[in-house]
Amino acid sequence: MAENKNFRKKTDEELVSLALGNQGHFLCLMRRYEGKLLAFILRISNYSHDEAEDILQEVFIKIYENLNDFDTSLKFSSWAYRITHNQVISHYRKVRARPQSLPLDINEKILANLSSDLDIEKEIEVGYLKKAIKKVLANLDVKYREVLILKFLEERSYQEISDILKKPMGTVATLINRAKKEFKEELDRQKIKI
Amino acid sequence: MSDLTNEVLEKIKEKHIKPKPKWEFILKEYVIWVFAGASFLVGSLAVAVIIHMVRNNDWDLCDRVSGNLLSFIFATLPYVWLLLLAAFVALAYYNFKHTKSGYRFSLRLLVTGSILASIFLGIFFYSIGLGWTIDKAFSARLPFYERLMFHRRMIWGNPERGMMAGRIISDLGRGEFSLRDLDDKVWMMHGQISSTTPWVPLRERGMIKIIGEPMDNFNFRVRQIRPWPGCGWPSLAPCRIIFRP
Repeated sequence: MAENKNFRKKTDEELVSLALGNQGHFLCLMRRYEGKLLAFILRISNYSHDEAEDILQEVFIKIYENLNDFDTSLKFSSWAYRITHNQVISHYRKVRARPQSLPLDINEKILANLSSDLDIEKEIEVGYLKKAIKKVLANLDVKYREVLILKFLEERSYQEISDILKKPMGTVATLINRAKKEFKEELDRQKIKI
Repeated sequence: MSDLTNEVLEKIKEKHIKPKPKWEFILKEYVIWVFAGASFLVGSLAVAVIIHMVRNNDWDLCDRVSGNLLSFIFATLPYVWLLLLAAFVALAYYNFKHTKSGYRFSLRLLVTGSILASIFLGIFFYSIGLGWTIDKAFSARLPFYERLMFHRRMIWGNPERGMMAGRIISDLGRGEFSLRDLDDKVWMMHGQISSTTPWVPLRERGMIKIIGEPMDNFNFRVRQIRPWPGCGWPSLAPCRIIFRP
């Protein structure tokens, strides 16, 4: 128990170093990221919970195998999200599945983020707004949907999104702007008023 | 403790999965950098040859060859080397993009940067004579190279317009020598050497360019001799020897 408490204080980077020497320490890293990465997989894909868990297992094994490739100039979380993103894309290619609907978990904070950035009226009923956002996001092109999810749902900075998607910061900014425009156009197309 | 993380740990233990060694990643990164550097280097060498060709392009014959400067430029651009430059800039970009931090730079920045760096290094290579050396080595060792430099044949395969090139096949004596032109036709050259320079390879098997006028189907009066690109010595301006008719 005391050992667990000690590990909780360690940074991701320290845990990476420890995990290289002892598999057991990798468990702490996995537990730290299990929930976040599973939610991310579910957000950017249309996979069931079980499928997403299978992908997450592959992600963790990939992370473990490539621990020596972790670049300490990056945040560990960006690197882990990058591997997850790549694994989801490669899974798409394998099963040729396209996302149909998104089991998005949109909370009040995310709604506030989206509303201020996308000029959404704040008086709109929350339930209706969540449903509308899910519907619109599900219909967006994957490249736009993933930047919006990373920016507004995962609340990642431009630098982190750049590291996750391996794109220059300028391209990320352009993608986000285009994604916002697409989002608004999709709202119009679906005649959703928010 | 969740089932998923336990399962992963079990799998890692069961299948004896181990982190790949660090040297594998370092080696991969080095290989990418070596390829990026080599592509950049070859691109710079292409720039050196382009500068050499542009500077030794017989610009003074523009009116005689094409009538106007623009069509002369289009007719004599070293397309092969420009294509090589483009290909190696693209390769340098591709390799650099695949380095660990390459993704942070935009396409425009990387391409502009690698073109500018190739130009600067190319100017240096040209200034130490590498442009001339490469052109000479390719002309001498690659039979298809001269066919690719088709503009040289276009300009210097025109005896009827007073411009021809070829290889000296007989001993020099009293200003007369025989020469095999680019179409393998043998000509007798007439003229009197008024000055000599080590830059023009006036010796057997030396490759030269000649300006003058045809006397008949086999005889040619020589007015000027210039070194064939890559033969003689590198020169900043076309080297001329004046023959007294």
